[in-house]
Amino acid sequence: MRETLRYIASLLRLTLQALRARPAVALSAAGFMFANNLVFFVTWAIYFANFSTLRGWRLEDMALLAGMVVWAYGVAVVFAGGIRTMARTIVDGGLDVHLGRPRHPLPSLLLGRPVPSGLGDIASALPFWLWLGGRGVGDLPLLILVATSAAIILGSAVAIMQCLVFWWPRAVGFCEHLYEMFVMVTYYPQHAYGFGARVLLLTVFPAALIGFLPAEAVRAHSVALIAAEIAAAALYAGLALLVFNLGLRRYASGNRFVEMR
Amino acid sequence: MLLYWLILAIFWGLWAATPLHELGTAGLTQDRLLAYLAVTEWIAFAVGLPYREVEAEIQGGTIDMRLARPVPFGLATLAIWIGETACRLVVLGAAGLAALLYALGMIPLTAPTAGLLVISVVLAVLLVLLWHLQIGLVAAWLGMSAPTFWIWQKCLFVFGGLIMPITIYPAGLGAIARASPFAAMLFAPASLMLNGAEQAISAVSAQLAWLALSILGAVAVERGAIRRFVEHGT
Repeated sequence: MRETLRYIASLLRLTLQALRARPAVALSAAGFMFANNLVFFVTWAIYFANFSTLRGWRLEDMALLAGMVVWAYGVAVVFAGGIRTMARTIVDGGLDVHLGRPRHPLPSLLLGRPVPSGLGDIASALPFWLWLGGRGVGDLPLLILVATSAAIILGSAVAIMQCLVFWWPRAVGFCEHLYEMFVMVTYYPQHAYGFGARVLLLTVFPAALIGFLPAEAVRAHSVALIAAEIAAAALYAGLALLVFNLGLRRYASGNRFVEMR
Repeated sequence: MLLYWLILAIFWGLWAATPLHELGTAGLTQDRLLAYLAVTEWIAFAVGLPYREVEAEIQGGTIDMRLARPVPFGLATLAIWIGETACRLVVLGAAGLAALLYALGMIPLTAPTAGLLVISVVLAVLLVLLWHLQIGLVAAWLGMSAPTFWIWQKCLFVFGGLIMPITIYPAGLGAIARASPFAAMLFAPASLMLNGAEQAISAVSAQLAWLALSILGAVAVERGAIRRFVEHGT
């Protein structure tokens, strides 16, 4: 176990080094993403300038949710940028490179290819929480805890979606669509939907666990919801590992070894 | 198409949960707002992200081949994009009509307004494509276009009135939005779903004016990019 953790720590260190390789590019991408997130939030400011509430939610609550989503997304794509290209890597036979290592292939597959703009996402969570969301610095440990749990759920859910190509190799485009839909749904508060849709968004398509549930947990100071979010992170991470291992049994490509000879 | 339906479903639920009566005299209902959104999202999804092609060509250096051809790069690129976007417009248009029929049980349009809507949507799409071309060419200077696109896209969403008509914006922001080219890209065609043909002439006139300016802008940006390629290489 300790060896595995050390291996993951080494991979994370390499990921951060990769970001430092082109600092100007990384910083400008992060800066633009930071501005991008704040500009888009103007939509909600306009909404709440016209309407007093959205089923009990106000602008501060939306800011809380937006902060959760951008933190979760940022952490996922900076530290596990491989989730974005996982389906393509599997279909192209790129897994061979990872299978040749004396470790489980999933960590090295996911913990690479950092997306620099994700740094801007992570940074923009702070103004969402502290400025627009009206939270204090003292709330930060709790906010970071639930939002990082959300990041693990996001990364795991996307990894599960991308594993679809093990069984359906021509579904790379479909996986990309699923991913885009997933990210899009996370940004809107799910309590406006019907019961059936909410159950779906809390289980099979867990978009509500990325922004809505963590935001509710902080709003209500609910220990039960915080525990549920952390438990869901562990559950989805385990599920992602299980699905990947099942898919791996069907993987039969050897084309990268031929290329590398 | 799935994404298009999904966003319509999200906002159908969101508008149902919104206290729309607080708008007072604006007279916006859940049905009318859905019809408005069906048009704005129709345009946004039909266009897609074509700027990425120009960005990739500049980053990969393959733009050299295209520049050597007898047809100007911008014109050839736009011709391809118009063909692709037209196909998506037809498919997504059918999907949007189906969604409105399913949700509202009717299409809130008269025949003359439908004709005006098609003209306005075509002008809007041309405008957006011209901006995509310019954003793609930004990579000639910055090495990448994506960050510029993110900001432009969010300005389009906010000042174009992607989700809400700019008539309900706070006065100052509404004035800025109306004076911007973004309103001609989304709000102008979608407002036909709210006002009928009442303000169609002024909306189409504004679109034509912005189209002329955008063509001039695209020509200038392309010339600048080519000059840069000649001086610094690709």
